[in-house]
Amino acid sequence: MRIARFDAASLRFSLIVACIYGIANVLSGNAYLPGCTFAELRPQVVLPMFVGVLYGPFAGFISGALGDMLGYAISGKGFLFAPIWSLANGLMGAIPGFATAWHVTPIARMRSFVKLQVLLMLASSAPFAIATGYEAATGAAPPAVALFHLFLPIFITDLLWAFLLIPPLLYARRLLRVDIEIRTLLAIHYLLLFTVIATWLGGVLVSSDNNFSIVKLYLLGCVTVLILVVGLAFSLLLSRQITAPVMSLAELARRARDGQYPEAAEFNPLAGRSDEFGLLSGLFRDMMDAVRTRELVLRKKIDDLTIIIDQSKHQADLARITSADHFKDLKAKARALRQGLEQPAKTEKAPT
Amino acid sequence: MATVISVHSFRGGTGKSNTAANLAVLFARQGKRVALIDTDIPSPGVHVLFGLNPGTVRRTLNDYLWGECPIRDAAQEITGLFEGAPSAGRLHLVSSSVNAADIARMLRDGYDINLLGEGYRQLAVDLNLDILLVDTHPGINEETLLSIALSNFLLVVMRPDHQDYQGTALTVDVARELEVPHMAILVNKAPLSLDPERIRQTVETTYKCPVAAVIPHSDDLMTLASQGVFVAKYPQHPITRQLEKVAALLLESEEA
Repeated sequence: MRIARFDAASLRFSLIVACIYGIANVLSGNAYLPGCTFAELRPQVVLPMFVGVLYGPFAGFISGALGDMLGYAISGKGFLFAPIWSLANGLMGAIPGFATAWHVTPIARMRSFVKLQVLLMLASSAPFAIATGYEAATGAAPPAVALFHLFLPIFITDLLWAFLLIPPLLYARRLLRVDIEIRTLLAIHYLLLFTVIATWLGGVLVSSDNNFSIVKLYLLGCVTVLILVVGLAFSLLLSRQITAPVMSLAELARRARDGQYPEAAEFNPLAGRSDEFGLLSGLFRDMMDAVRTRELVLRKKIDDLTIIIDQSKHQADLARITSADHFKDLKAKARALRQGLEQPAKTEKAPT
Repeated sequence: MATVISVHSFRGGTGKSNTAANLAVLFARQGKRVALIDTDIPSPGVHVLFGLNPGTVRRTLNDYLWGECPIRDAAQEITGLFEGAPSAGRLHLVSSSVNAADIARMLRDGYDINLLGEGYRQLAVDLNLDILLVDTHPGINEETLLSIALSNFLLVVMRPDHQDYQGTALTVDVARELEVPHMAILVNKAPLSLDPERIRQTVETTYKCPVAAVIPHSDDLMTLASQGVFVAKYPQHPITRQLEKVAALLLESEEA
């Protein structure tokens, strides 16, 4: 398994991000979501994840875990205030670090984008499931509290932050190639994301006004995430439908480029479509036909003209002609005859 | 001093008569006194290119060969008779009879081959010709041999087609045997798919004979077919330019 190399440069980068993450954790310490005083509104969670994507699991882990401990230290609670949560933060940075190994980056195709989403979903859920499970197991929090006041608020907010911020960060680092497929996917991704965030935030407002049940709020959050996942799955299908004909057209064009011109019939499933792709494919088919014909003509042009003469037949034919008496006679007279024609004035008077 | 230029091809359908007619017009345009003689007695056709119908041709080469008229009576001046005709020079045409009975009689009885040679000489004298252009019958027989033997310049027309290769080789070697002073090959109706320069090189290497021109197959030429003289109808056409170069090449030998 190939993972990003962990070297001095990535260590330096992860330490810097750890500092930023720690400071940001302190600063965001008063921005809570209702019902959860542990899980603040923390867009900075994307930082360790991003370090993971860039520099691998070790770098991701260092920036997540160290940054979390640094935050506690700065706010005077000490480095090891909550080691299990520091560990969870480290894992949150480490999981996206498998992006390179899993051939996620650079993101150029739908498949790699989906893999990224899976990694982000795992990074936002698994580590905190472990930490809340630990809290529940040690009796520090009753199970219902652990679920609704710890795990779900963290999971839902972290996931939304990751989905929202990781793609532009990747784009800025040129790890996201925005082709039609990805563009379609991104459009749906953000449309869905904004919709579910708006819906859920609406729920948050309602809950703070009317003593709305926290349980219901986070159940709504779960529904939100579910809608997001299902919506994204649909968007994959939709996006694939848009890009599939482009890809098959590209495949035909690739073959033509390599000199293996596709038959006109191979274009027919595409060219028969009644939409814009049908038009484009029809033009492609005609163009390829014209190019192929032109190439054939040019190829023939550089073909050598070969002239084959049967020498024995030639010699026999020549001998047959030149051995005839009238030929010998003609040959003897030819020069004189030519001279007679060239100098007619000497032999005959020109008419006046 | 008259220069005899024969335009010959071993096979029919090479565009030999067309080439001869075009060259005749180009020579006349340069102020030359030219006679074009159609010795393709079994299948004459040059007169058609000049828009002459058989009714307007009073005397023919056949009449001369049968001793029924002097050769000059068989010659018809056509200098101003067709579209795009030359204003300078003189252009005469000696047609062969298209009358089926005449053709049959000629094939059956033959004629005195020496009369043909004498006719060339007499025509050159009577019309004070600069150039006598002979459109021959395809293949090699006694009269084509005579025309070749009398030529100062032999222009062999061939198509880049395997059916023409062997016969062209024979024509070229026969002309060498007869010590024809100047000879060139004109490659006609070359497919557009072949590179003209390559054709020229291959033909020159194969026959060890200069190539006067490689004329591409032309739709314009085909459309005009036998309804006119190409260089007269299309004076600016690239093919006309090529034929002008051929004419210049032939005239060089005349002046040499």
